[in-house]
Amino acid sequence: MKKIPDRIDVPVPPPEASRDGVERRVFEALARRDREDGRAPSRARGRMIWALGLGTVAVVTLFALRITTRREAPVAPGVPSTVATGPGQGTRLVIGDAIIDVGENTKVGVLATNEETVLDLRGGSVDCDVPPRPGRPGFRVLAGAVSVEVLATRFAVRSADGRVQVEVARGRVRVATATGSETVAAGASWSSDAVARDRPPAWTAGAPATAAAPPPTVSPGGDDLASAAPPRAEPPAADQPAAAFVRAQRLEPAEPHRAADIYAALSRRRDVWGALALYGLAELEHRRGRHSEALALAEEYARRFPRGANAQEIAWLRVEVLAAAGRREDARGAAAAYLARYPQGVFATPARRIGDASASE
Amino acid sequence: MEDVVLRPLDRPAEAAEADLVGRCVRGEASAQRELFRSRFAQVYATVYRLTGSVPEAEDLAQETFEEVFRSLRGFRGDARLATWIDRIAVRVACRHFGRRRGRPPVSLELVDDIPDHQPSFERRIAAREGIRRLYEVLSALTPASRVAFTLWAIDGRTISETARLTASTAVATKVRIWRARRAVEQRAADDPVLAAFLESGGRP
Repeated sequence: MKKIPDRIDVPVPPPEASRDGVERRVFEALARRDREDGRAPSRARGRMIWALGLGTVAVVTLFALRITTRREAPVAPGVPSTVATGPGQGTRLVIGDAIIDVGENTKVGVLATNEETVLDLRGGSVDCDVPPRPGRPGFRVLAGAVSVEVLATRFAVRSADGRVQVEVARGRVRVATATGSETVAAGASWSSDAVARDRPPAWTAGAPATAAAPPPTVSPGGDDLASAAPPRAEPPAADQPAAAFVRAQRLEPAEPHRAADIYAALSRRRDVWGALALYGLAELEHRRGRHSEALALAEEYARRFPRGANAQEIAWLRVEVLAAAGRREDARGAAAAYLARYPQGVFATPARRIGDASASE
Repeated sequence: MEDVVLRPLDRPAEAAEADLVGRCVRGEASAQRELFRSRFAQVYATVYRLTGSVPEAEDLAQETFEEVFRSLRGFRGDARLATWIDRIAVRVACRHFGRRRGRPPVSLELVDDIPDHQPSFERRIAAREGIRRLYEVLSALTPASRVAFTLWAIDGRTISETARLTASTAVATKVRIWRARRAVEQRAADDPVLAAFLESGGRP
């Protein structure tokens, strides 16, 4: 094996491009923490604050919800509970591996089963710190007809006067309504118009809670088309192809099928974004091991965008896909075709290696 | 005239640092912003080189600074602030890799994300592809090996610096780097694109 160099140069993109967004999120998180520290009477894990007195006394009612530490067993499945707080009161719940800070003037129902934890936010706010869900029971917050499904995150949901706001501090959530769903990433927020509370209560005894528009499920590997497929993404707005493309890139690791949907929709365009999306989709399908699809997309690119910016990469992609599919002779032929067209191209060295390997066999 | 013995905090840079930390701990917003803006580029460069991905680097930079501000009360000044923040960034990255181990890295960044000093369009594409494949190999390593190799080979740290940042010994660090190098070499033996990128000195 040939030795690699001791130093490898990886250029760093200009930090200025990322700084403002990161700064905003860091200081929003700091401000939130300061508010919580000032509001919550106690932040000790495993303890609840019981409000006493009359009038504005906060009543916290637990029916079958035990306050647990992370090491203790989760709540009894299938039994709903309600938590209500008054002015100036807040409390913390630990349900399995999730930590939920319940804000003041909040009423939230909790249904925890072995498959899923669902919070029904009737009013007020909850701030949730939830580890990534793949392989773990799901976690959702319902507020009216809005469903917020955790993918991996820390986020807050606020519901007041029929209006729902979702703010994501870390990770991602999927927000679903009757008209569709979208993923909200760290640093972003989502808000609804007045949401009609026209759905039945979130739970009945023993029944899992559902939203008016069932949110798409996320399969554990994020890559398994055999599980419930999410609804196809709406075609990106005509004036937002760049944003859609970047969004698809960011979705690729965790939700490649959604990324593929966005690329596919974008690829119908006849401009540079259509070409870029078609190339991105071909690459994605190659990485997912879908050789036939990748080859078909590469050929579509070559046909529709023969002088496209990624024409050379598409030509090389054909070589890689054919090699990965075990079609060695076809891969060699594709490498020779690449060299004929791009003798000094980016991939000329590896293309010649394939030819040399063939000659020595 | 008696000799003046400089106490550590008499050195201007460290005194300024201690003053900034004190103001941050007292909750002075302008001091917190100043600390963030003065250290962001350093943190971002480190976590970007560790991850090879802008979205992940942004997430880790955010997490790093949140932890910096949470832990600032515990900063005792026995190391420089930059080093202390570096350690937090590395710890945050290790946790992140532990959660994500085995998952492929974020896909290709847009070509324009590579700085303009790259000599040509084709070489930028080749660099981008080589870098992506390199990080694909790294994502399959243990978090400890990945971080050690990245800090040493990509972030340009010495063995002893890498050991200090990862709270490890020099010997253990060398072993981790060796394992990572072997994994990269094995992959390069079967991947002509990665091999070509590394043969160019790992430089675009």
